This record gives sequence, C-alpha cells and structure tokens, in this order.
Amino acid sequence: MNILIVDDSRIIRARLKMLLKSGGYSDLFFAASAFEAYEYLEMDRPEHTGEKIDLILMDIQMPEMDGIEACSRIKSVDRLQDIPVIMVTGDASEESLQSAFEAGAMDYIVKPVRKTELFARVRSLLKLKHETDKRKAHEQELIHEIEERKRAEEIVRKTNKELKKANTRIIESIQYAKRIQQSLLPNQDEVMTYLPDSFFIWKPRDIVGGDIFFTECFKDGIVIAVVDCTGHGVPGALMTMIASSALRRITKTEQCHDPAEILKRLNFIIKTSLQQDTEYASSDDGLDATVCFVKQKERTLTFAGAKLPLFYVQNSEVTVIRGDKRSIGYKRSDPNFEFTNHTIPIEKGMSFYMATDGFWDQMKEDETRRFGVRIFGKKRFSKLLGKVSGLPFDEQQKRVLEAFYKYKGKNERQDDVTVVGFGFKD
Amino acid sequence: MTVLDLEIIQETLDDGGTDFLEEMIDMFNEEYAEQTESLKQAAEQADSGNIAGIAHKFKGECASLGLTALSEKYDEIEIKGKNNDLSGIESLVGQLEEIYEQTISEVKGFYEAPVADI
Repeated sequence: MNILIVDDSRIIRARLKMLLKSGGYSDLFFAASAFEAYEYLEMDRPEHTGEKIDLILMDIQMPEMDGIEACSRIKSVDRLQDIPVIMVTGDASEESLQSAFEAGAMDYIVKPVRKTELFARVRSLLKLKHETDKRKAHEQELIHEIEERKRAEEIVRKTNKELKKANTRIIESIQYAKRIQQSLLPNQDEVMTYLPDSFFIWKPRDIVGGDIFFTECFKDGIVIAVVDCTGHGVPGALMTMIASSALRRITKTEQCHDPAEILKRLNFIIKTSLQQDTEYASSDDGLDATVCFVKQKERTLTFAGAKLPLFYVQNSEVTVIRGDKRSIGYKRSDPNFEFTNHTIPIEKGMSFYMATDGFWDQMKEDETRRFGVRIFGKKRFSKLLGKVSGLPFDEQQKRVLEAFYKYKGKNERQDDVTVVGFGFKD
Repeated sequence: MTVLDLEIIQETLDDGGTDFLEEMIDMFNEEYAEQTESLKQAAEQADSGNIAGIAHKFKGECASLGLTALSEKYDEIEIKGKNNDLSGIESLVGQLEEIYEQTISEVKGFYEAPVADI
C-alpha cells in the first residue's frame, strides 16, 4: 500500500523512509511541502490518475502551509476523504493536536519517531484503509447492481407495457374475429324450426377455434355437419372459414346432400384451396368431419364420417358408427377416396350425436396412471349420452357440459369442443 | 548532559547501517552551517518568529537523529522565540556551537573507524 510522507525536513523524510522500508513498506512517496503533496494527490483534478495513496504521514509545522491546513484541504476533497492522515509532530501540545484532529487527522506521532510506535500506527491505519476500500468497493458494486436492476426493471416495465398494448390489440382483433366466426354458425332459432329437438355445444378452447358445425334445411332434407379443423385458435379459425364456405358451396350451390359425396368434395376443395394437391404446398392442414343427411319424410338418416363417429341412442342403448379412417384435405389425403355412407332408419325416440374429439380427449390429472393423466374417453362419452338421452335436449346440453367441466376440473382445456345432439320424438 | 540518544542511533545503525548514519550527519552538517548563520542573524535582529521557526525545525531533525543535547538546546531557543522572550538568546545560540562540536565528535564514533584500526 502507498504511503505519502510530507515533511519539509529531508533528514526526517530520509529517516522515515529508512524506518518504513525496514518494516516492509516499500511503496513510499515524498513531498517537501503541502503543495508538493497536492501534486501527488492531484487535488486540482476531479479524477485521480496517479498512484493511489493509502496513508499520509504529515508534519505539522511546515513553511508556506502547515500540516493542519494541508490536512483540512485534503479532507475537503471527496475522493481523498478516506485517506488516513497521521500527524508527525514535535509539538504535542493539546491545542496543536486538537487542531489536527479537527482538521481530520486520525492519529499522531511525536518526534523523534520510534520504530515500534510508527509500525503500530501505520499498520492499524492501513488496515482500516484497506477495510474502508473493501467496504466502499462493495458499496459501489451494490450501487452498480441496484442501478443495473433498476435499468432491467425499467426495460421489463416498458416491454410489459408494449406487450400489454400489443396483447390488447391482438385480443381486440381476435374478439372481432370471434364475431365473424360466430356468424358462420347456423342461427339457433332458425335451426329450431326444422330441428326442434336439438342442442349445439360450441366451445372453442381459445377465443376463436378450429371447430365448426353446420346445418342447412333443404327441400329433400337437412344436412348437419360437425367439422374439426387442424389445430385451434387463429389458425384453426382460418381453416373453419374455408370449411364453412366449402360446405355452403357443396350443399347449396352444387346441391349435393349425399354425406359421402359431401366429404369427397370437401376433401377436394380443401386440398386445392390450400394448394395441398401440389408439390410446392407450404402448408399441410386439413380436417376431420362428420356429416348427416336427414330425410324426415323417408325417416332415414345417412351418415358419413372422416375420422369422426356418429353416436345414436335407441331405448337407452348407445350405438357408435365409426367414420372412415381418413382425414380430409391434407397433402396425403387421397382426393379420389370414396367415403362410406351409413343409412339408419329413424324410429320414434331415437337421438343422434355428433362431436369433435376435444370432448373425449380432455384430460385430468391422475397419479395412478402411467403418464399421470386420464382422458375422458369415447367409452365414457358414450355412457354419458346413454344416460342423458331420455331427457329434454336443453337438459341434455346442460348435463353434457356439466360432465365435461366436472371432469376437466382445474386442468387445462386440450382442444376445442363441439357436440351436436338431435332427436325425433315422433 | 546526555549528548546522544543511543537507542535512536542504534536503530539507525541497525536499519540503515553506518553509511546511512554518516549520510544523515552529512546532511545535518550542511543544514546546520546554513541555518546557524540565519539563526544568529535572527537573534541579532530580535526576529522571534524566525528564531522559533528555525529552532523548531532543528529540534525535530536533531531528535530524529538522536542528537539529544542539540535538540534540547533548540527546544529552549524555540520556546524563547515563541514566547517572544529574547533575553539571553545570543548566549543560547552561542552555546550551540560547543554542543554541536561535541555531538558531532561523539556521533562520528559510530561510523568512523578509530585510527588504530585502519
């Protein structure tokens, strides 16, 4: 550590040098006056660029400026305040020492300087300086850390604000999209005119979803379809726009009401709309669907499914007709695939149910299971339908939803959920 | 009269050796020659402030070198100067010469080998 010796006597400077060197203190600097000391300490500069001084041994009585005045001036500089000053004096009068301490000196040694006393005082004040430096460095680190943290918090705060703003814009945009998607769904009051015994559950996982249902009443019968497009959220919703538009085109413009044929044409339209029939297609999206055509006069229901089943209940007995194991519209979907029609005679009291897999794929935590979860399952869904099928359809809707939410509990929704139920009392 | 502080002299010899002691005494001699003249003039002019200043400096230097008798004499002179009591000051200054000679003679014994040993 560096010691600055300020004394106008070269004899005393030389003796202090000898003594300190014998004690292992080799980084010594010398000044013959207060002004020379100021030069070492670079008093006139805000930042010190020279050697850092850790201790000053200062003579009191010096020409031009005495040690007390010099000490006082040194202590008035912020960056020098922590340098301990030991007064080395031949005048140990109370008055002189009091002035020295008032000026900021921390200790004093009376001339002639004795080695033992000098070492003890120098050692103790250098230790104090070392501890002070350590503490100050730690404080600086803390201040720096706090400033860094404040800066980081400010960035996080700003980012959060921007994210919140962006999120609000996105949510508003999606909320608007929801209105558009809802407008694609059949009008419930109108549906009640030709399917008075029915219920429609449409619960997207997010604000908008990839499920959609479709009903349309024609002269020759009613077309009812449930479609589950790839994914959910916004991408799913975009797919439902294509699916909905395609179903209208097939059933209304092209007047095709045959379920198997509807699925085949839907397959073609989805593939071609997304250019998934080409080599350069960048997407590979599609859908699963179930389509029914009800001929009320003939009392028949024809069903065709693309990976989705039809459930029907007669006398509390549930029957499941599986759809073909082919999805629609994907790159790999065969455009020439012929879907299978299943025709069921409608009898009094029969109920029919179409649904997307979001219902029976819903999971809940179950530690007894291998993966810690248990899905609702198609079997449990069938049983549920069997249980509620005798109830009025509005009651059925309520019970089906209750069963779903009870099962889901606090667990996350996995997918969009759509369930359509309808029946024929007479 | 104790002329030298042997403890300090020994300390100087232990840590600096005879060369260092000699060097210090040479330094002192130079200053002494120069400042004694100034001190005499100040005494003649009854310049008590100057007397006290010079005496103070020499008091400290002598003490630091272990030249006790000289240091004490300078202390007497410094007090006189500080108190602005210059009665007998010239006599005191005059006494310095004798003490100085004796001091130097004694201190040289620590670094100059006796003739018989050469």
